[in-house]
Amino acid sequence: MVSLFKRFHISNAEELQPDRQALYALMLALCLAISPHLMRLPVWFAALAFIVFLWRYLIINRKAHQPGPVLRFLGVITLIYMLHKHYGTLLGRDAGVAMLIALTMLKFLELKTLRDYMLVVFLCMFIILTSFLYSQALWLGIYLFAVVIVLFSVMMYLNHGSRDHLLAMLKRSASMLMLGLPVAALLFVLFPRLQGGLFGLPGDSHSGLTGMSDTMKPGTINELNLSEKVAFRVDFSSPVPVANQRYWRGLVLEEYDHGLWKERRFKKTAVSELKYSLKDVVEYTVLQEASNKKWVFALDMPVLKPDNLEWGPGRSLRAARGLRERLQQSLKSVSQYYYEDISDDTLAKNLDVSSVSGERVISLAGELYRQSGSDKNYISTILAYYRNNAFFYSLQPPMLDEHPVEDFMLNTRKGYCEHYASSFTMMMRLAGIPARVIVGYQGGEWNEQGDYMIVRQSDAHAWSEVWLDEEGWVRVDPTAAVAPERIEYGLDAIRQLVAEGKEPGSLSDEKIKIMLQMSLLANTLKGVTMFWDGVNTRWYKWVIGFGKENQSFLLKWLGFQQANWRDMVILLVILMSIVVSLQALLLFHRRKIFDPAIVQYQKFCNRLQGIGIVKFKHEGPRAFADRIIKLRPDLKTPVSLVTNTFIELRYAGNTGTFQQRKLAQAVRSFHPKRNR
Amino acid sequence: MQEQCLSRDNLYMLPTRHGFIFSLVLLAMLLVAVNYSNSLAYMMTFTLFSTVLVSMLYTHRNLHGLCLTYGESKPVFAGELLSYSLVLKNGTQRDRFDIGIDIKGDKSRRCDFSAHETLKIECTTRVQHRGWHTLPAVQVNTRFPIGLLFSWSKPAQLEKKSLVYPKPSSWQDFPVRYSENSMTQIQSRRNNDDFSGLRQYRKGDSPQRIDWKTYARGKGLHSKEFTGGEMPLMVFRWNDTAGEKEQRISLLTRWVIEAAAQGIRFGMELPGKKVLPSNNEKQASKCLTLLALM
Repeated sequence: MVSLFKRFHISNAEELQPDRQALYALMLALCLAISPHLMRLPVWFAALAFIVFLWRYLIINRKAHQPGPVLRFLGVITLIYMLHKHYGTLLGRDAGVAMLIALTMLKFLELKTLRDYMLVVFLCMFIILTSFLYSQALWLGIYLFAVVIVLFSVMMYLNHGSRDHLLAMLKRSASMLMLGLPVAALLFVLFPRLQGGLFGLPGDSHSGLTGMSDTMKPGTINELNLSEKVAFRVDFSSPVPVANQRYWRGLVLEEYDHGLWKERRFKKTAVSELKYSLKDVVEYTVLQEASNKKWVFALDMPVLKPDNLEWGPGRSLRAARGLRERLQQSLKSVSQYYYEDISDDTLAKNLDVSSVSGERVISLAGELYRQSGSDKNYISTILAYYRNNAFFYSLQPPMLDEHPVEDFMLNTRKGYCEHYASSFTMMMRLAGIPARVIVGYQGGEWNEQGDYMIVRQSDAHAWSEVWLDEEGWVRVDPTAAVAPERIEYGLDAIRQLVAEGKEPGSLSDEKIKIMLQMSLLANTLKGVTMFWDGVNTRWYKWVIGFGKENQSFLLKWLGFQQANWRDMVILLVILMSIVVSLQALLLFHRRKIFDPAIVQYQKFCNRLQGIGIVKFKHEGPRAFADRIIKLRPDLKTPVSLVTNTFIELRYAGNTGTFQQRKLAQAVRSFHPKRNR
Repeated sequence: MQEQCLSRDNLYMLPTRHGFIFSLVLLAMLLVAVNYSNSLAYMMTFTLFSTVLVSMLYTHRNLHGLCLTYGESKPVFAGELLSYSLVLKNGTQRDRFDIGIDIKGDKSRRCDFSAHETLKIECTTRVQHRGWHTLPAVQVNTRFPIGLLFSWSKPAQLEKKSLVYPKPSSWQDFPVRYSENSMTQIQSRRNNDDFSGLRQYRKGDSPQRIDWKTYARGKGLHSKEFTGGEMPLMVFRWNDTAGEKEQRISLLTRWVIEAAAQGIRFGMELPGKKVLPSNNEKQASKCLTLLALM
């Protein structure tokens, strides 16, 4: 390489003098790179940035020197110490990013050659990349392109000798980016994707994810219930089920231990088939937000298990690992089914009342069961018991004592879905009917803008499932008996009722609908948020969620049945070459001059050629005209008319439409005949 | 090849040192994207890569279609500074930026130039030897637009030669001989307009030559006489000189220069070549060219 460089005496990078404009350009690059990280960095970074910029400024004005090696070493050591103190570690995502930013800033103090300047730009690019590890929101995607344009302009600016074409540089780098996009898109779609990472991820990569807990204890405040965060979104490809059928099954809790519901330790056994009729099948795709939990929420009751998921206890679905990224999953469910999955073990678990205490509630259950006579009637009796005994739906229920079921059923009688599901299930078990608690979500909000459903954390819900000998497992939602609004209209309706001082369950449907009608402004606002959610959802669905699955689907669609790594690379290279060649053609294409005057004059020359008078290449129009007139004095008038008009048009700057028409007319009527 | 027009055949491209560093950065970015399965990181990596890929086209286009040629240069004597000019013709309607021009043995230059402009670069070089001096090879290069790629042209010898006359020797008298027609001795004086004396006024003498001072002193009309006025004719022969070949050439060169400066009609006889006497403008360059190429 060196000999090659010598042979062609390639000039090397020149030393760049400390240059104020170049520094400003770099500062711009750094600011753009850091801004997405701004809220995450320790506060003392502001001081560091200030010192570094000030020092650099003084160096440029020759009032300070570049720090020597000792000072630089001390600076780095101090920085590492500070970072370690702040983060407790130097490894991992957060500390790593902070370190990268800090070292980039320190690099500002030793800018000497063009290479140093360029290196800072490259580091800035990397810093921007790291911000995507925290968020992949749409605005960051747009920001990415803007920043790449600016950073390329900065590179042009640093490399360019003269510095007065700033706007042109921005324009040029924008057009370069535009030209680059097709190839980038090809790479994005066809670059072989891996499932999962290469080296494993640092432990702090997925902090701050919220998901549903795997236990339920009625009475403990669940902050999820109040959060408007999206749990998942659903795209239906068949008709959307009505609100009171939209139960999203998550976990099946069968173990009861002194007020705490838990999942049973699950032995992986064959899951019994579901009986259903094909016409009831609902097909949909769930786009579930990252939760760091395994649960996958499916409409009650999922028909099939997709290959990449597993069955949990009680026909719940779960992923192999906690969901650290969004999961996009196609599912099928039925609302009418016969679900018969009962073993002795299950039966025993679902009848376990060993930790239920309180004589009064046990005798109440016995009493009510005797009155009802049958299992089915007993269910209605309990639901009626809730309705008729001043039970209230409340998000701020009183604390329960050490006999939670008895205290709730006989004393407090205020609670939300968990209280009702828990107490109902226990009442069933006390009467000898196998029952369990299901947690998940209920309802969901339809987004008109995007034709999909949003299910939020506040839609979290708990209900019961009861075993009836003839019907299998049957879903019973005791909350519906107390607060039907919760089921029909969601938690918002309950909140609004409470805010207006009304009891849930006391208003007719009509009145609730009127109450829920929003003002025009609120409606517009909702429309805008829904629109934004729709755009974002598509962004996640098509761009961020693009992975190995979509890739193989696409390749199958393109006709590659079993696309392997090699095929994909070959396909990619071929397509890329085609695209780049087309672009080269576009870039190198010389624009032809389409002056109508030339076209007309060419016609004139062609007609003369027809009678044997050929214009020489070196001959100007005037000389040609003189020669024609000498050869054919009879053509003098039309030839000089055409020639003069043409010369006026081409060289005198007289390019009016009148002149153009005159020339066209003159050429059209010019029909020279061969001399005999 | 008098003119080199840059095209695919004579343009090369390699990444610069920054380009290599950048490719390492890109690789690191790709690793992060793969490890975190991060779509935006993929997108950024690919966008940067493809933009640099496209910038290759820009780099190539910046030199493509540029025509290099040397302008005409005047002959000089050996040991003097030869000045010549390199002409860059921008044959397309595109502006070109940041073009580095390396002329071998000269400092490298960088410049921009706009559509349809013709750029003339003036250079000088000291020439030592008589004869044809081949003008140095030229190479143009560019790191446009972002400094990650370096494109250069194949260094071209543009086959342009500039004539260098022999170095004239120090002054020696013209060969002593009678000119062929008048048989008067040539006065070996350096300057042809040297005043040589007064003589009696003869009819036909130019009034400008009359020495009015003498006339004013009442000594009658006298005319001033100058040595150069007689337009003698001389022939410089190879055999008039002695010594080594170069010395003889140098001396002949000196004589030719002097003779031409004095407006003397002169001819030259070299072994195997003969220049007939003349005093027209081209005579000197004709003789000097012969001497330069001997």
